[in-house]
Amino acid sequence: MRKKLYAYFCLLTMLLIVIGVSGAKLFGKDKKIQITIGMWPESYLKDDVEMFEEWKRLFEKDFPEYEVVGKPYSYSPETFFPMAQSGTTPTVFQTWFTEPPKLIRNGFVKDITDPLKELGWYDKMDPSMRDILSENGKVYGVPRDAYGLGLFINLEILEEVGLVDDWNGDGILDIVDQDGNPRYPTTFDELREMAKYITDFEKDVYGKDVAGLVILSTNRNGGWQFSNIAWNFGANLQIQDENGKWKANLNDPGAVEALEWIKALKWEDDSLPASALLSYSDWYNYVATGRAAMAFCGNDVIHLPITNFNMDKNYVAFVPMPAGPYGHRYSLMGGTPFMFSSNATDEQIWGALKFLEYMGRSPEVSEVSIQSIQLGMEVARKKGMPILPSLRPWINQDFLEMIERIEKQYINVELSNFNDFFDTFDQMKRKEEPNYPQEMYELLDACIQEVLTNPNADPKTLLTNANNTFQKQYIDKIK
Amino acid sequence: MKRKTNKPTNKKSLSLTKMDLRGWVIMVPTLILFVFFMWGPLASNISYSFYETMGYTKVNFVGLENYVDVLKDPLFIKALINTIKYVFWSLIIGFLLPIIFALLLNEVVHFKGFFRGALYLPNIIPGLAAIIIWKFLMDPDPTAGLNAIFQTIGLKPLPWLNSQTAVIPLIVLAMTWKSSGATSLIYLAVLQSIDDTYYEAARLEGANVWQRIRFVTIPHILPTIRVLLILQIITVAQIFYEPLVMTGGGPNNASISLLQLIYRYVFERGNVAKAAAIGVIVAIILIILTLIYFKVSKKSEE
Amino acid sequence: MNKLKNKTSGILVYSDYKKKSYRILYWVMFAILLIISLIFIFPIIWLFFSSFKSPKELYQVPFSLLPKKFDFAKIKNVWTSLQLGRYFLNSLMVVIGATIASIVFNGILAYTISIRKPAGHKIIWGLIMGSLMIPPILSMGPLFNNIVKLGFINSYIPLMLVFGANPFYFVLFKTYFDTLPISLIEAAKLDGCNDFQVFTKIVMPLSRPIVSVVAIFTINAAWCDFLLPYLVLRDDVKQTIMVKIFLLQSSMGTSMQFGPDTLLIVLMLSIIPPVILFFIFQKQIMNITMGAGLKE
Repeated sequence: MRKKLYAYFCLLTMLLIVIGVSGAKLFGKDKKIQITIGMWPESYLKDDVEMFEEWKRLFEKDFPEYEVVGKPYSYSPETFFPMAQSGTTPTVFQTWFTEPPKLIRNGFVKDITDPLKELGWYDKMDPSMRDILSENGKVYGVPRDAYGLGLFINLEILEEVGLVDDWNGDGILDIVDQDGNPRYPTTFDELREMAKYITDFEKDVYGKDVAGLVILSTNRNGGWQFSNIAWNFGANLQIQDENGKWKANLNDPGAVEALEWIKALKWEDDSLPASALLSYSDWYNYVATGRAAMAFCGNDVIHLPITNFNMDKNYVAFVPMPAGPYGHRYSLMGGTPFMFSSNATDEQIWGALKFLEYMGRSPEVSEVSIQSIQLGMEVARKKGMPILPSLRPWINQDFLEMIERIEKQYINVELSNFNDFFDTFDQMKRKEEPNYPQEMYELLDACIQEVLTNPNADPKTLLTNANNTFQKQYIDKIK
Repeated sequence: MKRKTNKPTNKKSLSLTKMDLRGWVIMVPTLILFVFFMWGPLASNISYSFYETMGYTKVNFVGLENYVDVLKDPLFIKALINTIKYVFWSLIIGFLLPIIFALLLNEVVHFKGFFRGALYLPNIIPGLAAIIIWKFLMDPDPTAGLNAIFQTIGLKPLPWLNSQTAVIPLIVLAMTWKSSGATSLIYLAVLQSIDDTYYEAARLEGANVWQRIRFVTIPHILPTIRVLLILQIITVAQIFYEPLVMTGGGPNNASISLLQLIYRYVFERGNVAKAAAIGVIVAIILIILTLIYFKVSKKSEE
Repeated sequence: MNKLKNKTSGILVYSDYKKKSYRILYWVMFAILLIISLIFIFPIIWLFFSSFKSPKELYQVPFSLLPKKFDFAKIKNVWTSLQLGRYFLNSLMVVIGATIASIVFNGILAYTISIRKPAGHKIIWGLIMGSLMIPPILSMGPLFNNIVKLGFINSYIPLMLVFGANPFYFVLFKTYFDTLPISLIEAAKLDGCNDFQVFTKIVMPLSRPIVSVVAIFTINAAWCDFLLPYLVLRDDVKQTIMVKIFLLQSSMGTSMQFGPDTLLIVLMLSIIPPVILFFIFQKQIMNITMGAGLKE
């Protein structure tokens, strides 16, 4: 009797542990090949879930040997490492263009060069994107889409201060006037001038606090956007010598000048938001609530102020990054790749790749891909999202023609307010710095925060210190 | 904390060992938990700190290199100083206020229940929610949070969390809002346990208010003050999610804490070994503080 | 003034208040306390009213405490579209499990060390006291690794069991058990009760006050906990309400689907259960806190 009870105590703990371990193993005894889809939408996004369910239905009908399982996972470095080490990474998941080197180095993602070649997708992939997703000639991912940084403009505010008008008289404000001249800032000098003009005008005439421009500074988002600004001031933040050895170069004179530029906007012009702790989820809050006129963002998130804050889509313009004082003009190209768990079998990889076609994310021009792209557009339209042209991850002619044809039916914004960005992107695109970009952004964040909170900050010293840290802690450790 | 000697002493040694064994068997489940959640991780932290790691795999034994690297990292020094600042400000703001509140609560007889409830209410708000509320209120934007109110009543908006010098005191203020009600109730209980005859005697000798506080109240609450002081130092030295949520450690790392730095190393940079090295350093600091705590609380009991 | 007549304890008593200067002092103290109380309640009231505001209204000068309209449909909408009910239920499950684990495991260990005292129990006592002030989160890397290795990702089990290894609750139990009359336990043992029976039939019923203290502490701590749950609960449908809030407020970039008004509504809803509990058990909860003071 007594012994039983003692045993009971011990068993209680053991049992709980055992249940936990074996619980996971009881499932998955299915004969079907299971592929888990990490980009599956979270359950509260009902329209999107329905859309995925439809894709799953079609896919499983055509390939009955597969079972598609949704496993919503939105990438972040802090969650990915533990997940990957626990071996619970979904078969396919979305990440960022900055991440492949780190994920490849740690062996978390699978080389998919062979299946890509078999499917004929290898040569159809945009070479600059394939380059980002490759290491030593092996490809590790499929680009979902790409984005380029540009300048988001709230036309309502620009009209308020008399900078834009409905030039062509179609009832929608225009960023390009009737002679085809851009009314948006094309250089950083003009941008600074316009930002100050807006802030001053709003203050003097309406008594409102409106920032001319939003500068981000936290969550590594600040450093990310800053690297683009610095490039346009002529900087290269990481350089490689003739032996292939990398060197940190955060204190490039161009970068210093870029930081000086931010400092001037803050302390001379006072045309930035008061907060020095803004992240990528703040800029659209500012532009949509009329607290800021302009912000840098990727073309893939233009819809956020509209869907989340009910901003009128006709008040939105998106224009190319301004040029720097020496004529440099780049647009940081990033994007979302699909990558594949290193634990996945070849069959699973094949299934996951094929599923991309059913999502309309492949270069294939087939009935099913046309259908799913259209379904995606329908859902976007239903959600009240602006439908814009996009940057294409695939370059095969039939794909480009197909996507253009479909987009034409659905685009629901004044294209002239976006065209300049899409027309110039190919000449401006530049990929992110290759080594430890997130760590570099973290250090740059701190520099920007210092400049935004301390009127006496010295950009050169700050960047030099950050550069030393970056060189010692990261660049020196590259083997 | 009086302990009674209740160990059965008059039993034969043979049955004693059997009893002992059974005692240990009963403890096993809980001890497993302690090993799993606390001692095990602590021990492997120590071992990780001497290795170069790839994820959670030990690659090379590197001796003290991680410690040297960490100590050379300007961010570690900053986090260490910040943590000391948190403790300092929590003593200035968070330590005195509850004592004053308790004195007031003890003296004021009108609206007794309301006052106690009002001061205690923030304590039941989940810490995360409390911090987010204050993040909204302390938004530096001139049209957000408290600044909107300031502007409306004709005051100038403040930079709040933007200020590198004010950011730590402000975070401490938010923490104090949450916790001081509970602490003041502890002091209140002690105040109420003071025998009235002491005050009576002081009154008869013509002592004024300050003298009564000085010679009656303070000596009585001193033991509690001492214990809570150390306890507070230890708690605040572990500050973590408050800056993580409120400022992300900014501006320019002016509010990053040691535990937050560990988090950054493990989950943002994926460097377990360096995180372990910092963890060991912090553990040593905490153990020293704990020893002081035991010394002080023993002294208070006497 | 009547109330002052009954003031017979404390630094100032009624006889002092016959002096005008002391009466003024009293009302000054009263005023200070009133102001402090209002400051303390204000953020909660601000949250309540702000959660009804639209994003634009939130950033409006001149400021108005009251929203333009009390749109309960909006709150209901957030509740259903985010499926908040699920997260509240998840939190509830963790809280219940954590409370049981906390009482059973810490209680049994304290019982053994306080009453059974097997040879060598002092080692355990020393180990626990040594780690009293070391938060498990300090070794978050290896701890997380432990959890991952046992397949506890997306499981509530570690989130519950972690409360079963809490030095602080252990000390609370142990201190209380030390004061129990040993004669009762001895008598029970002579009657043939085994350890399990002694623990459940004698020790626990005698220790109701401390059990409720530990229970309330655990309920509160488990409800508020978000870091370990955030790391462990990867699956959206498994997450607790605090994890959801943490994700809502920190979600970066494009995954952020909501405005600040949504976050405020979720915050408001998340503090309703503890506030209700507080108003029901106000006296007990505050007495526990005060009791903690006397034990120091």
